[in-house]
Amino acid sequence: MRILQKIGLLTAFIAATALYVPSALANKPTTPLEQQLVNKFAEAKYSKKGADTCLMCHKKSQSVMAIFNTPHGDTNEGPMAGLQCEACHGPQGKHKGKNEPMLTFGDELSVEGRNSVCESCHSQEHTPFHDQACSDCHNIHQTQIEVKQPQAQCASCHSQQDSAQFKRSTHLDNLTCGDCHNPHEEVPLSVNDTCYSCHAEKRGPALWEHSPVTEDCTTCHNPHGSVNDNLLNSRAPQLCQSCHYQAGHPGDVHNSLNGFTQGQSCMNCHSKIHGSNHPSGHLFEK
Amino acid sequence: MNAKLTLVALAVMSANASAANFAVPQDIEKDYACKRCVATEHANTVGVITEQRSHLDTQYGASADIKGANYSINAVEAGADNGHLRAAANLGDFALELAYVNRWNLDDNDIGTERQQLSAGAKYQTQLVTAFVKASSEDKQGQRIGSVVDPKPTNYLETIDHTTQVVNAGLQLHGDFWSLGVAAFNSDFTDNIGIDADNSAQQTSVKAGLNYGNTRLSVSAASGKMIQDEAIEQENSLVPISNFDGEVEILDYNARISSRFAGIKVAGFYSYSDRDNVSGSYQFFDAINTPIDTSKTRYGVDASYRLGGAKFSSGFEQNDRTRSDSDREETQESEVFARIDYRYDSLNSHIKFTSSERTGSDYRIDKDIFQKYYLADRDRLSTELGLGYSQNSYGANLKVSIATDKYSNSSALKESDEMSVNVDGFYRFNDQLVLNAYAGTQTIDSLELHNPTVSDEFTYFGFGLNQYRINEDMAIGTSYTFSFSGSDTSVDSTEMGDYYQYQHLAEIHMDYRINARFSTRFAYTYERHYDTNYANQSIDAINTIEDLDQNYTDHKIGAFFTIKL
Repeated sequence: MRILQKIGLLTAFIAATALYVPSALANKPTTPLEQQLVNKFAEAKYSKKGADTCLMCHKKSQSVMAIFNTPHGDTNEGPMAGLQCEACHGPQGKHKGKNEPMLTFGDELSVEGRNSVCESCHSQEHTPFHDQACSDCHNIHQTQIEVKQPQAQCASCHSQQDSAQFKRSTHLDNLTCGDCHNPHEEVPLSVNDTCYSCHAEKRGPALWEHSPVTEDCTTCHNPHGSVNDNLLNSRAPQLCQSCHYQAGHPGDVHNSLNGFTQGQSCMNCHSKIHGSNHPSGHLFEK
Repeated sequence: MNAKLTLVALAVMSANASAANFAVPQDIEKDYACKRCVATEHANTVGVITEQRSHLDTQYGASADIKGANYSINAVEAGADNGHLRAAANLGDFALELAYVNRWNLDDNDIGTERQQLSAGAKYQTQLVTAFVKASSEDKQGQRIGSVVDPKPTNYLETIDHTTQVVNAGLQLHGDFWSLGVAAFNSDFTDNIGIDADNSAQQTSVKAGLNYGNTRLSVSAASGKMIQDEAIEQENSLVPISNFDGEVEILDYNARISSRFAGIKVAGFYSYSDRDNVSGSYQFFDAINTPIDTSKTRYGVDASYRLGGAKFSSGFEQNDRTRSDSDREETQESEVFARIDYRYDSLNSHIKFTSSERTGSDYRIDKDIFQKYYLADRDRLSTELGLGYSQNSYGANLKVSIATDKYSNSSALKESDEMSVNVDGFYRFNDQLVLNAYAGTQTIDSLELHNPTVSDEFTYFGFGLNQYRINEDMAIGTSYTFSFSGSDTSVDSTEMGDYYQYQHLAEIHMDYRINARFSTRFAYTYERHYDTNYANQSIDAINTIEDLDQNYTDHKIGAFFTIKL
């Protein structure tokens, strides 16, 4: 019943906010700036000298000029072979002198408005399932930004995951987000398959399987990082006792320094916890 | 279901609107070239590095950044513990790449692994077709902690010596609004010293994508096998098999669709993953090995729309799982979320509420057995709050999240509470000098049956001064980070011992250009690393490894020489 109540709450939330939708739909561009740019595009007052006009002022900026070291700066093909700067930033109009705004890919424009520029050439490469603009992650003026600084781009939203690089055990000391995640598409791999690509020895199948191991590595491990060894969600024996409270051992509540709490804790005896191939390994002891 | 219908209704309501379109126009005539469009000449460089360390191994490596018309070579600390070398060549539509990558991850007790991966790939790409093949071989060596009962438990360092070889190949066709691809891989794992069982895996997959206006559709399917056929130790004459014919068949389906209309985005997804273990089942002396089958079905829908500076999002997700030979063979988890983002001038903010509930089938255990935490009924509530402010010369972000998991009364884990705070900011003194600072804390408190509590704590803070250019030839930069990870367990008010780690890491570097051709970098790094291990205290019942603590100070001086070719 509780879930029904929650769905009811959610429905109420959507219904309340949906009351605003008609006014939103009445204005196709979602911000005044976007409307201004739509008007500029309709007027289509492009510069008579292309990039040469823009670079009269913007040549001093290294970040602007850096585009000529990227594929987008190739004067033989792509945007610089066409309308040049104005291909992406829109017609100059009254920008020179009167500082009329250009399309600068800031988040004051709608995602679809910004993406419509990129998608006019990159129709196959997209982020269809994130509500983000291409330019939120890619700065096309810089060479291979997506290769050299991927972590910085992801961290701007995923700061909690990124901070795991400072934890006692972490994957982020040697790996980048893109080693496990593909932001552009969902690859047909489950969580465990992603882990097996580096930890193939866990793939098995083992003769004796430990159910949570085969089901989901994240039952026990946090892949980004943990304050515990080996990316474990909790320390042993408490991690094991999250499931095995009545394991049949004497003194289930382990509150003293003994064989259940010291050394490798439960794994002192059950050392093959990821699965065993030994004929007598059904308790993962061999 | 109500939520889902409402979201679909939102999509229908918005279907007659269209978004602002700034597509690059194709019909504007131009009759100019560009005189000012000049790329800065790429400087091909090679270099060497050396890092002299007081505590850890001295490092030597080579660097290179060389680009020609048809080839490129990129090396970063190649030959050192963590470094790589990549060479690529292309001829028309063909491209080749060779790579050698080292990854080193050992602690101060030499526990961990180092990996060396060699790979080669070839790709053929035209407007219509992309075909690729890639092969890699990775050696992984190191040590991990093992334990054996003989007759009392004895911990020891076990050698890791693994090789994994992978071959990937695929073919993709793409048009203006569609794509269709097939791919396959084979992976062979070998333990060179025979501790872990060798295994192999194969998978073939097909995927297709469709873009129609503002609507995207992506579907994929994959089928594979994981095989293990190693010899079984014949500890006595009653062992029923000599080799284990282990095989798991994998089947995955995925579909996603999303659409945008006038600031509204609606998306839905469905994924199904089936693990069918078809291995043999045999009567051993103590038990019968029972292969485990699992299946996972996930589907969901979400929608968001923008109104001026605000964005409203909400969604629903269902996550159902089945597993055989388990205390509880079916679980169902439902999650709903609602989020509001608001932007005003230079201020960004968001708040997100998430609620989920897990239930499942009847348990197949006696009433006096407690429920496993990953199968038990659970209610989860979480709230996330974000605030950000930025201008050209300064900015700051704050993110706070609070989450509570409550399990059923019969679960072995009763409750888990998590709180995390992350802040970061920057201040730009001038174009050359930017200060970045960051800090965060996280606590996770868990309560188990009979009052064992685990309090995990994590804190970090630090700052960095980006490269500060003193003059044309000299620049300096510095950074400092402190991090603390701690775990405190008490059982019935009895403290179970210290368990924490901290690290100070400070670095300062100077770049100096000797002349137009030679440049150098000198760097000094100070690391104070302290790590206790709760497993250390020796007791009579077991033979533990004597010392797993880490306690060291490392001074590192690095020198880099770079030569322009």
